[in-house]
Amino acid sequence: MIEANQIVRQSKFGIEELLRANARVLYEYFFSTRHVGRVLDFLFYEAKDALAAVDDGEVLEYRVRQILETSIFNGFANYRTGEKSKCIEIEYGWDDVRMITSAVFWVEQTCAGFMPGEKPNDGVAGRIQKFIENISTLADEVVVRFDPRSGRFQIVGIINTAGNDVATKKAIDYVDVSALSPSEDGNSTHSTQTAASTVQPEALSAADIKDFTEDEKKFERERGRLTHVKEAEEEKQAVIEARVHELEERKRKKAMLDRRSTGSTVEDPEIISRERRSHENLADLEFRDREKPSKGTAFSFVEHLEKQANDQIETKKRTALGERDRQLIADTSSDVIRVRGGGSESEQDGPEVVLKTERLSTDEEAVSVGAIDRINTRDDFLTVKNLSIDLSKAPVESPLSEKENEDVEEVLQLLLKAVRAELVVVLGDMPEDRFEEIFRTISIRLRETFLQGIHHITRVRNIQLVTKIRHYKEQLSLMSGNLESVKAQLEEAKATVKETPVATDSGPTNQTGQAMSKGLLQDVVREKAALNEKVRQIDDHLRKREFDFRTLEASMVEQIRLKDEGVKQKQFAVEKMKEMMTTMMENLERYKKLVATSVSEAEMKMKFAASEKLLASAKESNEKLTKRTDELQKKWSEEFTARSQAQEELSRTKRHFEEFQRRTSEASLKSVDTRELAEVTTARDRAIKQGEELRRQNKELQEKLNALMGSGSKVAAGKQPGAAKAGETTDAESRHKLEHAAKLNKALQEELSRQKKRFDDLKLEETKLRVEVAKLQNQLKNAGKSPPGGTKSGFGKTSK
Amino acid sequence: MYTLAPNTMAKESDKNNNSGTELEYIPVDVSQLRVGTLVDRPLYARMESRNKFILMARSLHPLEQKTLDRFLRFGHVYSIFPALDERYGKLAMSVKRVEELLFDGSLAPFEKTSLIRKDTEWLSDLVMKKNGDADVAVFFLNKLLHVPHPQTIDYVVEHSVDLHEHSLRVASVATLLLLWTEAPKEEFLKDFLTSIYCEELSVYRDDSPNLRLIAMATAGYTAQDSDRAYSFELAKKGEIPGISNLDRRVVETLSRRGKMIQYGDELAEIVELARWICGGTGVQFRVLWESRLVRKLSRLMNFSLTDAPRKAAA
Repeated sequence: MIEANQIVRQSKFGIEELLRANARVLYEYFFSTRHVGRVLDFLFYEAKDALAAVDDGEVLEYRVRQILETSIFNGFANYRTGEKSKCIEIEYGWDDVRMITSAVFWVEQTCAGFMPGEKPNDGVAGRIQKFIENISTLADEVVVRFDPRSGRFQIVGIINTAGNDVATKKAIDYVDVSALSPSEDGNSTHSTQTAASTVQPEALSAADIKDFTEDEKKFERERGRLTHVKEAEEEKQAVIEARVHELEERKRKKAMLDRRSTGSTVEDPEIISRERRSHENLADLEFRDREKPSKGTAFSFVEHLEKQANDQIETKKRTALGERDRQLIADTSSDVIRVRGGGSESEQDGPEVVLKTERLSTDEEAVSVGAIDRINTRDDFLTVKNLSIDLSKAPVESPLSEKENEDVEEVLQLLLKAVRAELVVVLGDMPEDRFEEIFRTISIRLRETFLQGIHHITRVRNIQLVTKIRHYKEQLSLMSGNLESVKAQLEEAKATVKETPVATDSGPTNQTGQAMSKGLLQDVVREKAALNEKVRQIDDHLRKREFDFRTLEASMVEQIRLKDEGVKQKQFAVEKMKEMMTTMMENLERYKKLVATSVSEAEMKMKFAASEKLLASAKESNEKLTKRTDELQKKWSEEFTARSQAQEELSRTKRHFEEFQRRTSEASLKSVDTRELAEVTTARDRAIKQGEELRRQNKELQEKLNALMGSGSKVAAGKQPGAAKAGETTDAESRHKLEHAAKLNKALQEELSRQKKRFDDLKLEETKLRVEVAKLQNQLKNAGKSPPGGTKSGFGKTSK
Repeated sequence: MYTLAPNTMAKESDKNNNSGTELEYIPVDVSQLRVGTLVDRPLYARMESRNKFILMARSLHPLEQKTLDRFLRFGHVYSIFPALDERYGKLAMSVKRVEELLFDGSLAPFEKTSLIRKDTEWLSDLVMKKNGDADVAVFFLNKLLHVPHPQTIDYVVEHSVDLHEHSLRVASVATLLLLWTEAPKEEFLKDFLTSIYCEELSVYRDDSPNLRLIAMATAGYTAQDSDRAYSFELAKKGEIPGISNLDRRVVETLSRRGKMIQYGDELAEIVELARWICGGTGVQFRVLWESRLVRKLSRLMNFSLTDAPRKAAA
């Protein structure tokens, strides 16, 4: 429990927002109804100063206590299903003008129509409706806050403690949380009569919620939603309700004062000191309480159910409540919850508050009173019998008690006032004496009729009661008759057993007995055989069933084993997939790093285009050079052939010349004739001439060839100085340049192909990775969907 | 089974670490280790041949069978921390006492919470103050409630080890706060802890898991409310191993936690405060600042939002 001294939150709808700054708020969570009385005692001990400051503090305590208890028990009774622990949150706070209670619990989301005047859609809604009506009779104002989406239900009861500001008209307000946005939550509300869709909630302080609801109603009236006639009826109804409520309040106050006149709950200094001590050291108190339940303190709560029942029977006799309440308790004895308000030791058997609530089935506090539920023993029977005999002394017609007569008189006066008001409206033009005469006549008849009705109701009630008791008595007499007859039969049987003589072995009786025993033995043997046969059949059947079961078990075990193997395989596959996935992720990371560190694709393309262009130009120049080289080689070979032919001709001429010289020398030696000599000389001259001519031609050819070779090397070597000096030098240079160009071309082509290959490899690897990732994801997805016992991997479920 | 006598708790120094400071390895009794229980301190195995210590089991993780088999094979198990009971002398007694109180039906709720707070007061200094140790809440509730189940932890750890530890701390701190404020039934506490544990992890969503894992590994992962809602839906449907049939109040609160905080629901506020204490992201600090829960804790346990070990935990 906590005290909230400062109200700081404005966005929430706790009861703190409904109280002033000097408020105190206590709250507690109930997970069972077992300790309700003790907790509430503690709550009221905390609020004793506030209660003492109010004129009718006892009545106020009574009202608040009843609101809280009704809320808690109804909360547990109507709690939604499916909860492992039911939790009721209770808030209870006060300031100098108000005392507010709140109970929060959870009901079914489908619960609807529980507001008074609506049609409940189920039994829970009906019970909640009655519960709200009960609370509305105790509190000055009730606010119901419900969230249909979650089922969170909150009921807030507001009691005005400042006498002058007490509103006589009761109001029930409803807040549908689902109709509010979170920012508006707690800052707006609307009445039951207003539709959430038509009324736009305005921002206002929660403390002004009452004014707000009044404004809402006024606004609705102005819009014509409530007609003039309805308004007048409402006002009349309100006057009557207020009067009835005032009457009830007065009665309740009287009852409370009577009850309190015999003792005090918080005024006793001994109790106050003990409670203060317990508050300061709660643990010690609890240990003491557990060892020995403290009776008569503010924390005392009768825990033993038997004692509760006895106390209540005795209390009924002494209670200060009216006869009608006692009758009410007697009629609904199984639904009564008794709560002791506390007191001193001497007050242990003193007056108690007896509350009637709806039927509760949740906890042990709901006890049956005044009767034994089931007759199990003879003592129980006798007790019920004596009880019914006492009840039968009740008169058929019981006159009203003095207090009831007063009540009837008050109600009658109220009724007459209302009738007079109606007559004034209808017979306003009638003379006064005539009007008084008519009213007197009407009032006499009304009084007679009313009293007759009251007596009739009392008579009927008593007759019903007496009839019921007579019926019970008849049943009891029948039961007692049966019991007597059973007892008689029992005695007779006992006597018969005692009087039955033991059979002796003598004469015909013996023979008859033997025959009878023989027959009996035969029957027994027959029965035994039949039983043996049946036992055999059952054994066979059992064996067969056992065999079937074992077969089934073996097959099931085999199936389980197969499934386990399947699961293991799946798990293994999943693990493998995970490993592969990890590898893939690493590759992906490596690839991403590689991509990040290498040049971009556009740059690569540009390089590739430039390389291609360079390659094309190199190819073109290479082709040109090759062509030129071929031409030069061809020319060179032609010239070389001509030169070799010339050299061959020269050598042949030289051979002819040498032959001629040899012949000449032979001729000179052999003294040949003059004519022959002349001819030889002429031939020699001609040969010399021919040789010179050939030398000249050879020289010219050589020069021409040199010239040709020089021009070719100039073209190939870019006119290098000294390039045309010799044919071999120019040729070597050309070949070298050609080879260089080819090398360059080859290197460029290799670089280009390498880049292309790398680019293609990377693309291929990326594609492969994508395919493999998709494949793995699909496999993992399939693995995640397969058998229920299989491992559900987080990766496997997610492939798309 | 290899067992080390308790009186032979010889300490050995790690000569192999490169940090310069020597770590003291304390022998651990292997027979005390149980499969499925939460490991309360990092456990090392010692390689005799190389005289090296290898980390085999991390703290806050359940002990697996294969790890225990390895320990048994190695024979020598060490840790750099002493046993849980030596580190926190009051832990065992507090667990026993709170267990008794939870099942004691003779106490009214406010008496129960008061006694629980009294018995676990030493925890508040560790959990809710700066330079504390939120892991003690994990061990305390694990010994008290025996949740989350090992299969649940296995499933969660497969998604993220770091987030598993964070989620476990958040769930334990939230449950401890609930224990201090409401003291509900044990089943409710179990459901509450397990639900928050699964919800806070927030990485079950199956849109492009690889990218999410990469994002988590590289740029840090920030859980969104939608992720938490999705995670909790899985837990609610029972698709996470070890979880079934959650309490309805837990379901309603965690399904619509944002709204419930706006409505002033204390259960939702508890979760939010636990997330704040453990350094969670996207905490509605303004709502917490004005919440009744914080006022309550500040009065009962001298708690302050500004003293919460958020920065240290983050």
